[in-house]
Amino acid sequence: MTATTTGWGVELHGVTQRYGDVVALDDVALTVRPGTITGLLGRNGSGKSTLGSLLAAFRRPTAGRVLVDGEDPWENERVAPGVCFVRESGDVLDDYSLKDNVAYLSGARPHFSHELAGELLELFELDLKRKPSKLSRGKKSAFGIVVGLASRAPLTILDEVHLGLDAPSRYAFYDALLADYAEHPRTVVLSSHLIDEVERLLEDVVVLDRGRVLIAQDAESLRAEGVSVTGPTAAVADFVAGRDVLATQRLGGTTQTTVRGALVEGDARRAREAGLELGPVPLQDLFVHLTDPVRTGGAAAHAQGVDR
Amino acid sequence: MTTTVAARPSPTAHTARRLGAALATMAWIFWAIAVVAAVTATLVAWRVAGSVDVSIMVYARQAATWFPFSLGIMLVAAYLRVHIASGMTRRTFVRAALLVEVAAGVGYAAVFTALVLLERAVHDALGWGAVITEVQLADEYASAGAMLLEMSVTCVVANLSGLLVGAVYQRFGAWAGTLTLPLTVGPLVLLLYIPGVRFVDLPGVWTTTAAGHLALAVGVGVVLAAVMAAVFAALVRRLQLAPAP
Amino acid sequence: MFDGRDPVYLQIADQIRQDVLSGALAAEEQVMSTTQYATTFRINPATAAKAFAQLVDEGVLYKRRGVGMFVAPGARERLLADARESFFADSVDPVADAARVLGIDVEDVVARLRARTAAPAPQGEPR
Repeated sequence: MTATTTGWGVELHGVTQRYGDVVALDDVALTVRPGTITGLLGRNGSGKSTLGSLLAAFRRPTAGRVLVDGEDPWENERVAPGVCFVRESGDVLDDYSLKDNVAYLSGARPHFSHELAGELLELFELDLKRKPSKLSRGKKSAFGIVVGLASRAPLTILDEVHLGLDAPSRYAFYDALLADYAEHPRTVVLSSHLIDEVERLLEDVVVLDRGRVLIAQDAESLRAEGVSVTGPTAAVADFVAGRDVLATQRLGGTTQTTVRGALVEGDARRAREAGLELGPVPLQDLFVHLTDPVRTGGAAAHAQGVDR
Repeated sequence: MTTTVAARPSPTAHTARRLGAALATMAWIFWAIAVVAAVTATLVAWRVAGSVDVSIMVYARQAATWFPFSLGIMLVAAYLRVHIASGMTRRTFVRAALLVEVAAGVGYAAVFTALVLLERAVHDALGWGAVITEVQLADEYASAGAMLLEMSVTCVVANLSGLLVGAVYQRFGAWAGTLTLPLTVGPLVLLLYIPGVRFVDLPGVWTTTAAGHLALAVGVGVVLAAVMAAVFAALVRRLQLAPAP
Repeated sequence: MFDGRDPVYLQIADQIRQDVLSGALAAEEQVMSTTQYATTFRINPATAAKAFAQLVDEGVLYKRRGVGMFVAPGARERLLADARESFFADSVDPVADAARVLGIDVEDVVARLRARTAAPAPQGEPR
């Protein structure tokens, strides 16, 4: 039997997580809307994995409040079975067969689907008799995906689960995620470095940068905020004056500038009249510009960052 | 959200079953080796001396303590992280681990006692003695009940000590885990050698009778076990998983 | 697919409008479900749902509860009327502007339009 869920929302209030001297999350306030696929983007060490660890009660924050479906997830018997955090390392029984692992998980996860688990195991060509410790990196990731999707947890956090997977397997994962999500809506927090590949899957986007929330908004409006302006240097400079300039490239007398901020009425006409070309900015580029250490003024601090 | 799956076991029972199965597998292997070793030693001694008038099986006491102790460390290292990652709380892991380790302690003691009694019966049939020379609380021809009681307490404390060592390593890391070994393993060592005091003529009530020794060992053991269980629970309940294992 | 400047849901809506205009989707014909759309084009189901909601608002699609989305009767005619209305502003005016900038005589443009219209209709553009 399937229990239909709409997914659990997440709220963070003033959440700080320190590991000794390293501040992994710095006074974070954040809301994840229930039922969305929310992309969690950030460079290495930006605090993505720490955020997942807090939601799944792997850890307790140094300060602040974490709420999952309205409650603190720490040692919470109601919330814990509904939060599934899959990280690259995979927190599974390394020396038991995949079959034993599936049996253990299914007894712990109220909404576990054996049917979906079976389909995904077959899709990724995983042998039930093998042990996780004997799997290649890619197969290990694939098993993490099986764990994450078949658990059908109302809050599913998939942290870099694509690592080691080849492109066809990654696309198989995206398809499986979308298909099961459409039929069994839930909240999915997906972190990935492959922004180009996942951006269309996302409804909302959260960008973390050195432990702080840089952006938290819906993907559609975020994408609309990036505009590239190309044309004669003087005309471009004139057009972008007063706008939030992210990057500028010059080639001879032609300049291409990336700005953030939605266009307003008349902008397109003004640009055309000035002989400028307006173009879209891929989310990936927007992300790279926004998290540029030079831009955000923390190159030195970032260089010391550790992947958390 | 309502949960529609009623047949799901409680998290405590679920993990207890997993841990129990793991320990049972290791127990089979351990006792099989112990029996083969005892029989082999008996045969060798018989060929050399003509008869064997001491209990050989009783020498398994140390191994039957330290082997499950090491499994206790392993339980925490291998299963706690997976238990939490599978959507269960530390609280239920504590319950499952304590349940399984107490049961395992009593189980080891029961098997040990049964094997000693069996050996004694064999020796009796062959006209050999079966004197217990290993430092042991129970008297030379200890009653089954005394042996079972003393060994149960020892094995349970050994298992809890293993859990405790595992928890300290998980929570505070390798250095702290090693430095606190006197605290985490000390109680077990103490308990193992309390029975030895009967060979030492020390003044006090507890050096007078076998029953006195038994009461002392059991009393001290039960108190130690309770304290260790409480400390283990407190350590695990606040345990944070490493960012990347 | 769907990588232009506009939000993806607008592109999806546009494409369905084009299909209705071209007759690829007939009146009362069922369109793909949000789920099918999401998995076929690898997009978030909410994005597809947003496109459908817009088309329902415009009267291009209508929803049959529990069954799915269908092309509304008369949708093609309405879209045609809309397209005709915006045809001069969207398509002819830029041609006139460009012709003036390039110094092309308006009579040459008209002649070209006549010749083009007389030629056989072009095949449906590949999507």
